Amino acid sequence: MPVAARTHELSKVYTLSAAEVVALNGATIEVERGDFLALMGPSGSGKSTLLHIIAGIDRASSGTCEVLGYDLSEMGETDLATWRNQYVGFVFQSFNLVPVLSALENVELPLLLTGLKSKERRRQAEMALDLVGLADRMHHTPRQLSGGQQQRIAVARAIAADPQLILCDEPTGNLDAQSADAVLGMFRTLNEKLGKTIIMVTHDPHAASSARTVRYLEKGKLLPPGQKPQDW
Amino acid sequence: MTLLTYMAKNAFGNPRRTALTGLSLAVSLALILVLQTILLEITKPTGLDESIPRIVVRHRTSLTMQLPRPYEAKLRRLPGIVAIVPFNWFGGVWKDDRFENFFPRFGTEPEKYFQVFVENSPRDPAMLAAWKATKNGCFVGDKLAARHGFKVGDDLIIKGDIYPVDLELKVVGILVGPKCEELLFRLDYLDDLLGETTRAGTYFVLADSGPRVDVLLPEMEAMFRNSDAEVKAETEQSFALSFVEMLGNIKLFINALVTVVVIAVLMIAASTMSLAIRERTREVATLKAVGFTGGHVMFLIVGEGMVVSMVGGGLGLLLAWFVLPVPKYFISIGAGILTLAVIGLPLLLVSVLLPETGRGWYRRGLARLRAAIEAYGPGLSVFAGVMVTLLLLQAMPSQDWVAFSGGMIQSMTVRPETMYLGVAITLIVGLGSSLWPAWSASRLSVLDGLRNQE
Amino acid sequence: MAIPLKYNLRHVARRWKTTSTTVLSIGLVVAVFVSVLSLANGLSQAFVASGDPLNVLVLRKGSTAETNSTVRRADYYSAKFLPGIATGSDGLPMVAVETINIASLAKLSGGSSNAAIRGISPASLTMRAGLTLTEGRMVAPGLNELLVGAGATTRFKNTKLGDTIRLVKSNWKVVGIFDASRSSFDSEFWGDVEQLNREFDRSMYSSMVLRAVSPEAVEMLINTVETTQKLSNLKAQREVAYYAEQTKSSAPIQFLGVMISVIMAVGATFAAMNAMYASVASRAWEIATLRVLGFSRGSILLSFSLEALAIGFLGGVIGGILALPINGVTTGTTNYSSFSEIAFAFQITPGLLVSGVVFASIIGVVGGFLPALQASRIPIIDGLKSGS
Repeated sequence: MPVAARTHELSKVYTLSAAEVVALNGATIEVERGDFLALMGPSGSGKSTLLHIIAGIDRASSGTCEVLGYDLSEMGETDLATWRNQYVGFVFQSFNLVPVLSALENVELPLLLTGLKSKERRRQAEMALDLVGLADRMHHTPRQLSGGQQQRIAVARAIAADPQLILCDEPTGNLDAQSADAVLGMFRTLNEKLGKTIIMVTHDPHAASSARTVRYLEKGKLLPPGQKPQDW
Repeated sequence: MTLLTYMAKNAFGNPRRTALTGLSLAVSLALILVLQTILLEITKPTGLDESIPRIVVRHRTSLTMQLPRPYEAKLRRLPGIVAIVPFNWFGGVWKDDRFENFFPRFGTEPEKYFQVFVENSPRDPAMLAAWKATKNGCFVGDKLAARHGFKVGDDLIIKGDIYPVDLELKVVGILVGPKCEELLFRLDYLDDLLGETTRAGTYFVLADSGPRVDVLLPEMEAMFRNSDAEVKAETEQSFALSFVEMLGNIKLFINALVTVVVIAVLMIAASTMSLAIRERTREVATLKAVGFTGGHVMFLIVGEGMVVSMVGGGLGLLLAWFVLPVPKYFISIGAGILTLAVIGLPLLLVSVLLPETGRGWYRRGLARLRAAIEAYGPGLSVFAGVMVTLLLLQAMPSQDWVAFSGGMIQSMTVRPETMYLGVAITLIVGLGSSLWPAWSASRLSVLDGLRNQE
Repeated sequence: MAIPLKYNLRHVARRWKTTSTTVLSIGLVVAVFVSVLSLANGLSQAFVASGDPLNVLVLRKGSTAETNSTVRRADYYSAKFLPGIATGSDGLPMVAVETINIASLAKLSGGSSNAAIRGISPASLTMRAGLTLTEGRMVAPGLNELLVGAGATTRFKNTKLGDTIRLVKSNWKVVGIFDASRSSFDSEFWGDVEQLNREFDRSMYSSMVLRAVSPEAVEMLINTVETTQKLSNLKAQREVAYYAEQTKSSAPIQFLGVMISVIMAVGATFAAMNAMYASVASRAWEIATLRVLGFSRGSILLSFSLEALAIGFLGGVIGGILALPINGVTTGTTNYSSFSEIAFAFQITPGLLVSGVVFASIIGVVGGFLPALQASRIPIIDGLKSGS
């Protein structure tokens, strides 16, 4: 199986009010294409930092990170942004939809940078909305939608540009159980039917149970497959 | 949707804020254009045709000193002179010494006047003949006649102040031309009243060509050097300019004011923009996460600033172009807005201050009153404002600014070159207000932005 | 129950970035207001300072200014011995005949400008209380000699002691400099009236100034001139009143200053409104909490209005400080009743500064009114939700 993302001995140290915080301390992982990986671990274990580095929105202090064949540590900010636009979809815990835009326009947002024609963009956005089952709400603004609906819009936005990799940071953290199930079901469909690689950070075991693979982090390191941290 | 529509949606995401910023820009821009219009009106009056090679000859010492009448014949002998006419400032008082009843009154000679002032003509050729036949006849400029309602056949009395005589004039003609705002009477009539030949304040000379003027000016001055009355000869343009210079450093004064206004409006717009962008820090971070580069973000925000400033600037230009030139529009719209505020604000205040206490019918009554005010108050005040505007538009006479301000304001008509300045300032404000927020947003890291809790 | 003002002031300080631009923009409005009005003020002051309460100015009937008035030599002899006229130290009645002439002179800043050349009598100098000879000496009768006002020396060329100036047909020597304490005389050139009349080819005087023995005698003197048959072509008035009338030439500047300030104020009001709306929006939760604690709508309204007032007040103070450097700067314009240049200084008075601060406070309160209303109308439930 080809590899979607590979990190080697990643470490990340940052200073927080004069104290040094070690977020990652030699994290090494390989994620296969077509995998649906859940990253779990206690607060401060470094799971979000790892996800951010894989997404190219944070940089490691040392170590290498190769995603979809690109060595991210070699790329500049602008190249990274373009790369994200083409290859990565992102789903946040707090949806982060643009309040002044309709559902359809929110989904269309990443497509604005692709060079597609206006009609084509719209068609693709509508398809993505259809996929998350909200085609009938396309003209609503985020404020008019429930939390679950907003997160489904966010998922549609993440897949609109047809990226190979979808990264999610606690996607069900702000949702009730029913909405969470709907969103997780969508991820499974994307993974199984469309072959998208998904990496999801979560601390919710129920969410993790939707994934194919679960890996745990502790103190900035990945535990071997199948192993959980103590008192977890 | 395109990037441009997204930009526009952001610009109107908080419509009230955009409206307030836009309005403050509109008002300031209109002010700048008014100041610039006044400045231009003073320094480069409309209607002065620079292509006409005309020379003004006057006493070297000052305009209050006069030149002997035989100078006319001596000047006339110089080669290249087409025509020459004496002019004498009478001053005087018409009706009373209020500013609006003041207008220039000159003594001159009918035939020669039209030979020198080729751009002006009698409304009807017969009028010139009437003037030549009537010693106390006078011509009034068409604009002056319109302002005071002078007609042919009217009798006018101008009380003398410089001269100890009163002019009893009869209007025999209307002067038509680009800028005819003066009264002209016959110099020989003044001579008769005084019982002596008056001197001339100035001689206006028409040369046969522009280059000839440059030759004539030193010749004329040399002709009377070391006489008892030396002369100063200058082009009509520099003569007009010498009056502007008398006002003092008005150019510096107005330009300083304009600069301050631009700085103020720039600050207002910049603070609004940075407020707007700071509120959307998470949105900016999200955009970057989905692949917008720093350049894209910069483009979006500068563009948003441009949209806001163009809305305000456009409104300001519209105000200056259509509303300002007509006092009636200006007053009616102003009064309408004032009415809206005077009715609307107290109603709002009452609805807030109505107590929420009490019991039974009293409490219910208060609640109902409050609900009624909140339901009908805004509509009522808008209705009243619109009615006042419409009513004034109907009722007010169509005066120009000269008549409206009693001569204090000559014209509020904004010239095209001033409009370009307005467009330039609009663009500067749009760019200047958004550059800093755009730059800092373009450098925002995605993580920092997402952590922002605002 | 009122909310303590301290609470708002802390908020103003916390949001200093947004607040400071609002304060500054209000400050600029006030700076313009104060400086333009100080210009008008300085110009008026130049005229107000020119008259002396004991002096009676006599002009020809129907004349509105010295420049278009004529007084004959015979009038001088008739007026000289009227009752109520003070006697000078030389034992002669204090009566001065004067002429006002205009000559275009070269300016220090380049170009030329109309200067007022006043022909004076020996009594002219002693009759103006605020006027002192600071350099040189008085002009001698019958000679081409000039005194130059302190204001004129800062604006015209060749105005130092010993310099010569060409007026109409001959050269004149500067023999003295006088300080007329910022009155309009400060911008004038003075020379012997008879000598100047010859230079300017005139046979008559422009005006006559009579010095009354006492304040009570002033009115009597004016009446006497009115009723004397020989002087029926003349009109007497208080010199103070004549110059006070000329202060109206600063009216257009005053009008312009107020108009510009008001229009700018509208813009600044919108800015203050924006800042206050932002302040209210970011504090909806706090406002709701205050309401829960029992503060009424009225006290919320008052509290936010006071906050806006504080912003305006601060702007007013800053505007005043911004305008201060212009105080005392001299400039010139033309006095149209004498058709000559008058030098004057920007004059900022405490009263002007106070009105600037009041003006700014009004801007603040007007701008804060709608946002404060909105704050007081936030429903408690919505406000509490917004903070969670």
